[in-house]
Amino acid sequence: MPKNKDIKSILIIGSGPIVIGQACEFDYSGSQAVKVLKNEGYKVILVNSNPATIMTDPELADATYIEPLTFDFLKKIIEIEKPDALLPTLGGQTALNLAIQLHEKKVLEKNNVLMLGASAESIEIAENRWKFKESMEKVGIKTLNANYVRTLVEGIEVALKMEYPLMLRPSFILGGGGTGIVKDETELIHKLKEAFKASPTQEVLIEESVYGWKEYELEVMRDSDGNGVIVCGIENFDPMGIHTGDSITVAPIQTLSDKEYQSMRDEALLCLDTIGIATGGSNVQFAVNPKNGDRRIIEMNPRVSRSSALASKATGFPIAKFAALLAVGYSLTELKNDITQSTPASFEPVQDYVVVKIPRFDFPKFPSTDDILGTSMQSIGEVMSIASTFTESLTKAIRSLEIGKTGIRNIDNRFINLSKIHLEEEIKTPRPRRIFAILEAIRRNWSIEHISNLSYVDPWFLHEIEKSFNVTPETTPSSILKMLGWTEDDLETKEQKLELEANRVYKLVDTCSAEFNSKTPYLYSTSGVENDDNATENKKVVIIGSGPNRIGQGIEFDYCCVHGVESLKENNYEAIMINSNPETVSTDYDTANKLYFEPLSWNEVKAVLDKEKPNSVIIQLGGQTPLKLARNIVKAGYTIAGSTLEVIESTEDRDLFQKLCNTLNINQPQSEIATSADALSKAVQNIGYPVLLRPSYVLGGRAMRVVQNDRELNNYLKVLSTTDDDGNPFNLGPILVDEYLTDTVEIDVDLISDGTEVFIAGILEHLELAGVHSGDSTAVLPPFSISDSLVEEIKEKSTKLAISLKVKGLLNIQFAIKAGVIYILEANPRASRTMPFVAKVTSNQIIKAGTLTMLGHSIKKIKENTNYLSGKTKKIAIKKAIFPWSRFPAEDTMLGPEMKATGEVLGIGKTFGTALNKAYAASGVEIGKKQKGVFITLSDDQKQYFVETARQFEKLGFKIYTTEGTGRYLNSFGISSTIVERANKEKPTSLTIIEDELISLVINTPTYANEYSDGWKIRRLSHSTGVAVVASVREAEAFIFAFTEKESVLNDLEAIQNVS
Amino acid sequence: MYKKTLLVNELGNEFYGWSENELLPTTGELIFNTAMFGFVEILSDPSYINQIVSFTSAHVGNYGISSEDFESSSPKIAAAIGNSFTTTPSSWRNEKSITNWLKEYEIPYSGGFDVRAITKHIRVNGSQMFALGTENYRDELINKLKLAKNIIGDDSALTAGMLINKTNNTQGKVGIIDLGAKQSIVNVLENRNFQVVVIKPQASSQEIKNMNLKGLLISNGPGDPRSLIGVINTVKELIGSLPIFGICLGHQILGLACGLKVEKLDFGHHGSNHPVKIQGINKALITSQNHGFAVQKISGKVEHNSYGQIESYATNLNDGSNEGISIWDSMAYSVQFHPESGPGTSDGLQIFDPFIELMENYYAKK
Repeated sequence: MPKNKDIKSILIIGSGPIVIGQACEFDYSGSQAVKVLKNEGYKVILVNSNPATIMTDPELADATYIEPLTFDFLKKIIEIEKPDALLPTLGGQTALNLAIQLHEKKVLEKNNVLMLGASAESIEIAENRWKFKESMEKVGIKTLNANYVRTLVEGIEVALKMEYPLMLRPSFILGGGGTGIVKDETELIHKLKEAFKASPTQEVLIEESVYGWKEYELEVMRDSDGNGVIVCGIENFDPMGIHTGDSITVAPIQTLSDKEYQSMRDEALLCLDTIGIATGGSNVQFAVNPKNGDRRIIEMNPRVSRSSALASKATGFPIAKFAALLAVGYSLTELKNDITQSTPASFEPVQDYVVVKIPRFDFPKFPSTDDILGTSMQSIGEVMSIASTFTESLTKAIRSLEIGKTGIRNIDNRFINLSKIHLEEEIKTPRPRRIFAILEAIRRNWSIEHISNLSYVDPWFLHEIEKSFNVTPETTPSSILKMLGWTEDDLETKEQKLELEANRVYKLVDTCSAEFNSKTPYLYSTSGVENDDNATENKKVVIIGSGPNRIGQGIEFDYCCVHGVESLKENNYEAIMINSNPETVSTDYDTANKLYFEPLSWNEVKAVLDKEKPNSVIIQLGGQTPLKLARNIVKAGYTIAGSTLEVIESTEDRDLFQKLCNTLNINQPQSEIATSADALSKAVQNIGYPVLLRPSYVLGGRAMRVVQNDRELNNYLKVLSTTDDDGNPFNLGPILVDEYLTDTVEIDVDLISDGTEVFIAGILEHLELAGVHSGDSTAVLPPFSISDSLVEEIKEKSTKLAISLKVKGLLNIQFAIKAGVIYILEANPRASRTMPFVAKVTSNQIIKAGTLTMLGHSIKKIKENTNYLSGKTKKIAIKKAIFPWSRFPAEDTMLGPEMKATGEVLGIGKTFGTALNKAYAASGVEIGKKQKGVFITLSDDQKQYFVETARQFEKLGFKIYTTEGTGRYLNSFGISSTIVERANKEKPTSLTIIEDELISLVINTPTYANEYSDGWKIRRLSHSTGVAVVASVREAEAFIFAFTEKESVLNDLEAIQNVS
Repeated sequence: MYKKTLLVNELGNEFYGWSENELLPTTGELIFNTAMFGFVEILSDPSYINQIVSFTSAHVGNYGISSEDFESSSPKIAAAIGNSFTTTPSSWRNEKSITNWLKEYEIPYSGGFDVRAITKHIRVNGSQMFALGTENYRDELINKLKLAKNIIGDDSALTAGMLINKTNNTQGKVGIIDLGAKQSIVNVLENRNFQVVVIKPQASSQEIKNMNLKGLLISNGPGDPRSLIGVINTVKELIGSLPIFGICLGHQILGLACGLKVEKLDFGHHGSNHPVKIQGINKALITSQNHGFAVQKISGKVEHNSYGQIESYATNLNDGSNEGISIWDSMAYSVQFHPESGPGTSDGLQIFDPFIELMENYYAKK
């Protein structure tokens, strides 16, 4: 069926900030959809609150609203734009839930907006587990024995008739929050309460547990003609019971016969027909009993999902792009296979390789959380690898994780040293590190049956790994060694290493196992005799990507890589991308001219460079990952683009940097390096409390603490003697001791330099006081509280630093201002987390321009020849960080020097108040939805600073609630308040006033001391119920600005394309 | 200890793999199959007789051999090559490993090949005769290749001898001219309660007419249909006298019987993911295919003197080749792909429906 010509404009809802369970794969799918629909001539209207996305680039959609993804904002935007249709299936669960709300509250109907892709009715069936179950059983598809309950009593009654263990699944949730297995009634009662809370509809399904069954996912594309194709089948290495997002997964399916696969395929298609998913991509999940093949359908997502992104990357089939085209009426038979460009899209891709995905976790950032994996997703990112066998692919995926492991044969000492019983326990318990325990058991030659019984991992996978441990390099051909997952790092002699490397060839991902000629250079390395691709003679540049998402290095860097690629292409360079992260736009095969889907470890990167012999290698765009390769790249004889090794060293080496700052007359906080406990206390004495302490070799703020006194220093010494995730003690290397500046304002500067001229792209002022990691803080552009002369001084110092460092490319500098004096904290000669935000807000394409300066173009020429640096904005933009607290219920939500945020949202407005109001709304705090109350609870040393603030709230008519101490203190200044009881006492307590929606804001100055204190409970409850929590006078006063704009904020809406 | 295995053709093209066993020289037409599931069905499908099958799937044999999946009682291929053959399968239905099964029937196999390089070679050069063996037999390989009698041009039709499981004949008798038929075809008919009668290819048209059949199915099988003169003539004499349905080789026989040309494809269709457009059905079917020859493309309706109008009702969406012809005037039609699957999707099962309908109408009229 050809496309629908009645529709002229389409609204696409994005997925918002990066959170666990909903990450940058939705930027990948969203940007594919936006591009293709615009290409088809539709007016595309996009709403997404996440500025660090490619999809929100002004060139992509026709009207882009970087606005909160809430019902109110969506309704208003629909009224402004009057779109003909809404496509809700590309923005994850967030978009789907919003679409349902807009449908239910008749906004779509009133504005004549047609829902594309899926009907509200079919979404309802797919998402409501009970309706889903009923409709599946009606057509003979087996579902789990399950009962749906709405109350605790009902739940207990139902469980009596079933057999433990049982699984709890709340309805309408994303990523599995609130789900879990219970073993007995006590656990049931406890966890059922949580599950009710997690479900927006207070519905929970109690199911038979299929823990340990084999888990499968089928990615299905369907069009309005009824064509249904399975794009990819995915088999989980980890069994049922571990969220698929937290599981190691493998594609294609490995351990099902044709008969079993085909009947699963039939059921998947029947499921879609039954639910009535009109068009697009969906995924269907199954559990299979390994003992007899008994099968249950688990769930179906009527939308593009995380696994669709993986499936797209695993097969080369662009699911999101086609989903968008099918939604507007095309059929699969009318579309061409994107990769071969000759065959039709109505086929099922085949693979002549094996894809392995491994999730990446950040548990050490969440010290109160046990890292046992379950049905609620907790991973932050993932890697994918492609190779000729499962084992080789597993090795490549482990290398891609960037956790210092070189492959399946590189097992941690902690497992090698474990007793039998402890190793069995490690294999039994699903944790991120379990794969290494399994590898150790195989290395010890334990029976595969035993390992499989403990782990429920299918013996096929384990046997394949076992082969690797049963060979010796002396008697095995090197190509076979490579297939068995051996790497250079496993070999002793140089000859063996060279021989292994000599087998490396690059093969194409082509959807068809080479049956047809393919024109798209999407490549992976494996062993073989023939390359599918040859290097060109073009002027070419390699960009090294940022690898798996982790806290501190996420989508922002992929945004930078993609802009780097675009800049190269626009300026006639061949752009070659290397990356290992399947969720990204940079690994879309049509982003760069050539894509190498490879681990970002040196062996693999070097092999690509040796094959391509690029003119230049860009390491400034992918965060720390490529920067760490700089020395090797230079040593191997390749040129790094822009800033030289010396620049990197001058900013990384504390002594060099100190000298530089001294000569430039830029203040730095005092600092020393301590190599022993004695030296540490001496250094602390020299500098004076408070000090900031951190191990020198640890990145991203791990084990970093602000220490105020001797007692805390002693505590810190205990922290240092513990070990990190890899089992290395934190006190392995020297400890850095820094003067900790209190009551300072932090400033981020992002700039471009060509070596002689500097372009200051953005100066951001942090709302929180220094001490909160810059990635976690609220950043305001332009600065709002510092004087113009200070801003000038910052510009001048930044320029001086960039020029004297001879920076070519990008530079991010962090400053702190204390009592009008500017201190420099650090400088990073690479793209920063804030650059996408700055670029988006100023509409200067700073990454594109920065890329050109790396390649020797002058800023002057760039201004002459491109429009990259011609943007201007008069609006105020505020970035707010988004945290994964809901996935880590044991953690305190208090912020500190260690970064915890997974994503960010943007509030953009004509005033500071509207911008902040929107930033709050986008992060889950809808100001004005709760009563006009403020709850103030302060530590003793902080009380004095908040008197004036309290008075301001009082004047504005806020009802003030306080804890006893704070209340008495304020009362002594004539400010009256309602004193609430402690959490465990009679109502009203500090918690009931939050639950009863009496307050809009909590002012709380936390202390580090006690976990699970009232403060902890207040902060957690506020977070989960959408109440703002602030810890400083600055933030509290800023909140007032946001509060006063609560009515006018909806009138301050404008597509970014209109902002000049 | 690994031994190097060689795969060579007469032009001197050479590929190598690794085997833990010594492989005696074998020859065959080298084809590739892109299916990711169904290796048991492929190995035991008589259509692959005298062919060296290169499996493009990264791993082959993961879930082991189950006799429930047999398309005939034993592996029929000449040899199997691939990337990695599983010696330690895992499945609740597993009876033995693919490697042990092939060894049992002395069928050589070798992993460790750069399979993509082979696929690309076949894609560019078409299917060719190759010899396979361990490197120590290098000279014998070349000699054997020179002497090899290609099945292409062999006119002795094959019989597979399928298992007839059911005697339930509530729907009547269907004859299958067994040119190397797959068990799945029998299973489909038996599932629809027909009694299956296996007919040797040498049977005359009169003998077949005397069988009191409700319908006749011409089976799949190996080789060049153009050499099966006897069967073609038999079918010519039968067209119009009872409902006829041809599958794969049977489709080509029907085509030849009504005067259409059959040509060799460059490298054939071997896999489970071929999209086919059927006239009157909106959606494309994802079909299972295994053939090296194809009936000529025809556009519109072609008038045959004695049989009536011939039409192509099905088209391969990848290359536009002819996937099925119908001669409704004479109650006959055929299909190039494998509607019975085994391996492959169930999308094609509906292609049996017209056959059932034709038989019902024919029976009603009788």
